[in-house]
Amino acid sequence: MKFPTTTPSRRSVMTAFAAASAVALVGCSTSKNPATSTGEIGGKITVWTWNAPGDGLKAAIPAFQKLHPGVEVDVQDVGNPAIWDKITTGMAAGGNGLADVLNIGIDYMGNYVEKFPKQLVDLRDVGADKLAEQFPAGAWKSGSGPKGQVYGIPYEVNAAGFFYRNDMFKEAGLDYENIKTWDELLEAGVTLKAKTGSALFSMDKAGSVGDSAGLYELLMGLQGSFYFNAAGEITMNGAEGVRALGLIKKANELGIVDDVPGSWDNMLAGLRGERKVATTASGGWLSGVIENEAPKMAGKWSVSLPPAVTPGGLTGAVNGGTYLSVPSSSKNQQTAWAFINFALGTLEGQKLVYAGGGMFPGFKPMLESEGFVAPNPFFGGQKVNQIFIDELNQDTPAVNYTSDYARALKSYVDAQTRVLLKGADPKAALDEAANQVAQQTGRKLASN
Amino acid sequence: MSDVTIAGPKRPGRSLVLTTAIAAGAVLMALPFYWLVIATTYDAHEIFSTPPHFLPGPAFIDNFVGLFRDTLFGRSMANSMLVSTTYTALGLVVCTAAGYAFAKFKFRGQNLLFGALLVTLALPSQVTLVPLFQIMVNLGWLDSYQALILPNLALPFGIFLMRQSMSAIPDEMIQAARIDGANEFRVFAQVVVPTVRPALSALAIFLFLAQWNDFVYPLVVLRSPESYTVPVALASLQGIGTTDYGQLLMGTMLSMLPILVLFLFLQRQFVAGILAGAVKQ
Amino acid sequence: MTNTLETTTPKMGKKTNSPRRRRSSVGYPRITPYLFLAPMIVLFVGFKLYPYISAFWLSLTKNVGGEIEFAGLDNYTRLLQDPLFYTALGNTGVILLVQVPIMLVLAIVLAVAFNSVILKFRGFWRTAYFVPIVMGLVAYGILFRALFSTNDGFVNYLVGFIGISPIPWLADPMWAKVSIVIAMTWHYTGQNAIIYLAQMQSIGGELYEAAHVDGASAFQRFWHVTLPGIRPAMVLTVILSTIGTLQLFDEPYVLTNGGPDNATLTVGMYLYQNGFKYFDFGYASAIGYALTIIIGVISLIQLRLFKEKS
Repeated sequence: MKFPTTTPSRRSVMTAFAAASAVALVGCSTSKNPATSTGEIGGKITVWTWNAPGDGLKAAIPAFQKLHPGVEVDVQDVGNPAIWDKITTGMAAGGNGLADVLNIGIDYMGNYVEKFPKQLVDLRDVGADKLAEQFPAGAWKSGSGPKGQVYGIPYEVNAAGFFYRNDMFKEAGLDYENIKTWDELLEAGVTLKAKTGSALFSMDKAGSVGDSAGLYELLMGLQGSFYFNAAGEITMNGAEGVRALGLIKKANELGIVDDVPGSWDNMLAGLRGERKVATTASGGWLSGVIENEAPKMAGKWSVSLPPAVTPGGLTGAVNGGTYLSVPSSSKNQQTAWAFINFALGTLEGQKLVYAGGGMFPGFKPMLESEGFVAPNPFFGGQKVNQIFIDELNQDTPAVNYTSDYARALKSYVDAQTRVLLKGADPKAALDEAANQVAQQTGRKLASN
Repeated sequence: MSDVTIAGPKRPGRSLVLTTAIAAGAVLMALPFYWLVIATTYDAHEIFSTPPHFLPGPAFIDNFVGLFRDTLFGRSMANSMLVSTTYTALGLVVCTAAGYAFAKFKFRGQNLLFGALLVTLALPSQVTLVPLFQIMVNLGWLDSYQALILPNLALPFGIFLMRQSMSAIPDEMIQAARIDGANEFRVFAQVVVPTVRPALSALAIFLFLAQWNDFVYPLVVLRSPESYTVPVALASLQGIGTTDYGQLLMGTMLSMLPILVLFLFLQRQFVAGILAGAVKQ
Repeated sequence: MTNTLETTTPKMGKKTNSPRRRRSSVGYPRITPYLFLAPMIVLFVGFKLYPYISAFWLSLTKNVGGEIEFAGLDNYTRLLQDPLFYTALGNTGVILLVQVPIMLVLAIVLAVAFNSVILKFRGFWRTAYFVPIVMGLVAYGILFRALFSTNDGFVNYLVGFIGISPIPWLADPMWAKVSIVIAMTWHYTGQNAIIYLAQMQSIGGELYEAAHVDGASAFQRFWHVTLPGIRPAMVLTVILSTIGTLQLFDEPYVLTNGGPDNATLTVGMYLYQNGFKYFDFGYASAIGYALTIIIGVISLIQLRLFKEKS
């Protein structure tokens, strides 16, 4: 190869540097696809979600295309938790590179809405108000902004799912129907341990998976409370919180809690009967998981309303959910909304989505539709969905995740670890956690 | 060079001891990989069983087929291959050139520049993710190969590695070449580079690996499943309680194979005996 | 800068056999090093400059109700008073001081072994030790969690044979740190061994011959020939391993989530949480730059120490 013998002048080198920086720093915004004129439904939209909800949405595409010929809908399974990094980066970059429809979890919604307020379309502008009545009030509110803006339509609405091994209860001579409160459940747990050797429930005591607060959130929900109240003040260390964590601690000390550090697969072992565990509390969606993952356990698991915390208290709670939202940066908002409306707000769409993905819906006409509340042979003929509907119909309060849910969750899990592994006092641990959240977020403690 | 003087008829037992010790360590190193391979032969529901499986199971084909059905895995492997190979080739050039400049020249601002290089290494990549993403948006490079390849070509690790290996080259060798009439690029290409072939091979592997396993940045930059690289494609298999671990682990295992092959091929390059332009001449 | 052998004095004046070339007094055109650096500089200016400046700017801002406001050094002051930050620093420091020396010593031992002619099947072993580096993070996390599971992990299964009761690898604050150290060592030792091995190739065989002739034992040959010979590689691995460990994120993220109760919370994890979980990018950037300063200081000290030893 012939190399040049003359050296480039210093000036031309500098010019090259400058040009490169200019390109990078100033940046030329390339011409993107010409925007479809507003008001028209057409073109292509992309949807970001993950596998199971994605299956549901994909199932609705053919029918949607019949209504709007020529429309393309690309449902992408980004994966959970990969999708959060993707959405967050796009939002933090000013709302760039996002899909037209985003599937956002209830635990992320509040944070996105507060930190990136103008980046989700207020769907009232496209007529979402009409749907408000068709969804549970609590779920609708959790997807709304402080002034009633509708930032997402509920896709999944999960009630708490309480499951118990009816064969173990029988073996121990117990009848779950007689158990009315958690205190009674714990006593039953002692009997279960003695007669069958099984733990009452399992927990990730070390909190090595971020989401180890499921039981606490259920117990709080059963008392009508949460980490925050409607005004956004911190309530995690209130009387309800202390009672909840106290129950957890009591169960631990009775020796009826199985430690499953880490992960999902440990919980699955319990569902499959490989680990002896008598009850599991999670979301209603777990019923589908049990059927898929533990086919040999057919007939042995029963679904039920959870016990109340205080006699006569609530026996139902909301476990979470997801929403479909439209980012303001979408170039095809009309079509995006049309798809969301079809999939979530029409009975025809909902039937397809439910059949395709099995996500528990919030759309009331769907809940009331024929065949939705069918006996489920896996659970011994129980009408599983009816139980969840009953829960949602109780006077469960709206759950205020706020934008600081992630911080509260982390502080709580640390407190729970201290209680379970080091024997800390629940009230002290919760106060410490609450103060930490207050210090980090500037929120007030409700107890003050 | 190897320390060839260790071997000798007087101490045959040494070889056995050493081999056994290394073998024991190798078992520890490879055990998780063995478990990975076994896991790919079981159905997702069966993988995490007590006690752990030691022998292969029946579901290899199912997982294989399922992986290709639920993701565009073949396409992703091709994407990863293309991106990683291009990145490695270009990265070798950039890092070796820069390393040479730092190692064998004195110029103004040298220490400052090298210090700045180390500083860029110090800032965690999560902090620069969003602004870098913004650059890609502004350039219109979302979902493109160049977005993946260009930003990290001047890898500080690579430049540092080449600088260190070139620093051991005796200056008289370079001066001799200059005296012989070679211009600077010839000195570089024909005298210096062949001498550091072991380090080049090592760098090639590390560059390839860094690009192959890169996850978060490709995740946010790539927009269509057709252009996903392997880690992004595998992440799409995850859900809440719906992850098919059999497929996920199968994909992981398959994605490790090209690199292991590359390593088997390249490792002969950094072993004594295949040196051209030996240092001591 | 780090030439260990003597340099020839540059020839002054023109060269007699290449009258067409203009050379500076050092023997090469002055522009040469800049040309070799040009790609690196162009890439840096194009893709790194803006992100670094932007990140720094972000560290001086706060997100108040969705609007980004200038906040001066507030994030840094907040950082200095943040107990979790100090916890993270402490954890990271402990892991650094324990893990890096162990790993690098092991790597040198391995490299010597791989370099030795009396090791059989060298190529095979090298590949075995290389496997950990290749494994992707998600799979690696799944595997190690399964291995370290208290009740049915394989490690405790093995440990049970020696009669020890199950160790709470991931559930106990101290053991969790141990698990992280083990995982990191498993993951990165091979990589460092390869770097050392590559450098060992450039140690002249005659140096070993000379030492042997002088009656040096194998260990003495190692100490006086091999170690000095790989000194540049040692500088590299010490500095890079230190930086990598100070930024540690992968292992705590997939194994322990920073737990239990923040026992394995590293600065890298804390940064990620603040940025991508709490969406507090200003604070996360401040953590990033604080870490950069710490790394800068430590790296400088290390470079000085290495210079003095020569």
